Amino acid sequence: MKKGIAGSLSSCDCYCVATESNHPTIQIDSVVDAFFHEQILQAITQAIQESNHLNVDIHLIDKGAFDYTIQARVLCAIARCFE
Amino acid sequence: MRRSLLFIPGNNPAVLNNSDVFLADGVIFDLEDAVSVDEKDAARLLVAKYLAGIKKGKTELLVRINACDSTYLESDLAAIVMPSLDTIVVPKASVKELKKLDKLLQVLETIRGIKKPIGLLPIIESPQALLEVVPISKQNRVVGLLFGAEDYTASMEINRTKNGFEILYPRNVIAVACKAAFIDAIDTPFTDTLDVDALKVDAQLAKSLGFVGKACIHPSQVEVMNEVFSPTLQEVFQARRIIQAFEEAKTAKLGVFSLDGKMIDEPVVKRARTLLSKAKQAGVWREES
Repeated sequence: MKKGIAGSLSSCDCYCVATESNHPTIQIDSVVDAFFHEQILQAITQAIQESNHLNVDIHLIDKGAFDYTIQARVLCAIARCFE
Repeated sequence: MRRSLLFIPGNNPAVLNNSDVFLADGVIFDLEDAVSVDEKDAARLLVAKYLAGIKKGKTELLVRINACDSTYLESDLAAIVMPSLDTIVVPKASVKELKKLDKLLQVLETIRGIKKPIGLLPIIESPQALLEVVPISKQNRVVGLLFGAEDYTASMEINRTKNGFEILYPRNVIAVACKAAFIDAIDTPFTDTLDVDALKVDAQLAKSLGFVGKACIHPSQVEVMNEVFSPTLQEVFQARRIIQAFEEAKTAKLGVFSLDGKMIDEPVVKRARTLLSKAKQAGVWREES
């Protein structure tokens, strides 16, 4: 199974694991999940679509990252997964 | 204005998030030395996403790309060339590489509909670049030259000192080349982030040689740079007196006149006008004040 990892567990960052999958899922562990779950989910979904690799599981551990950071880390993890 | 250009590591979201609160005239998102080889792709994506989402303010946005002879060049440009990017900082610059960059940027700007041409700020950081500094300063898009003393002294196999005696010659050459080409001379960063007094002395020396600003490697250096490279109130006051005296002399049809016992002629008046213009930009002085 192909896998790609990007980001870190530092404050304002997020740690993203992308795994090739025929049944894609998105798992979010966030310190601000109660307030921003939908926004984080949207940022991840947009990045998956931008990557053109829809067959991935994403596990994102968020440490208060802004949308642009989440998108960058998801894109990087997916790129590393399929490189 | 480029009094203070602050380097920010390209793969650090905590610092990127705050890049506009440090009050630097420009921020340089670094994809080169501040990023390890196995994180180049992550940094490139992070900076690209940051630039794509930023609300453009007064701060100049610059990116230091990887060297033009590296395998990263095309990926770096493809990611970061967008309307919000003002200037690309070019490490290990040479005329040949600046010409290549100019062509690549023309293509990308056309494809992406970018109206305002992206500028280039080459780093002069080798003896070869120093010997080529005049043609480098005249290349398309070049808005200034940044002196990189660490790599320069390493190439020269000489030690860096706090007083900077060993880099006096390259500083002189770069400052003169920039003035001749009407572009900005930006001085090398001061690497001791704890010694503010020495930083100030170093910046004042650079200013006295003709540099208009200095690169910063820590946010704490920004305020010092903005202060040193802005005209002082005393200088503004004297410049206004010179202009006023000049206007009076003009009315009296005098070509040359004196103020406080010193001769005032056209170059002095010109310098006073330039200083007032800089003071206005820096917010030190307003026309009605």
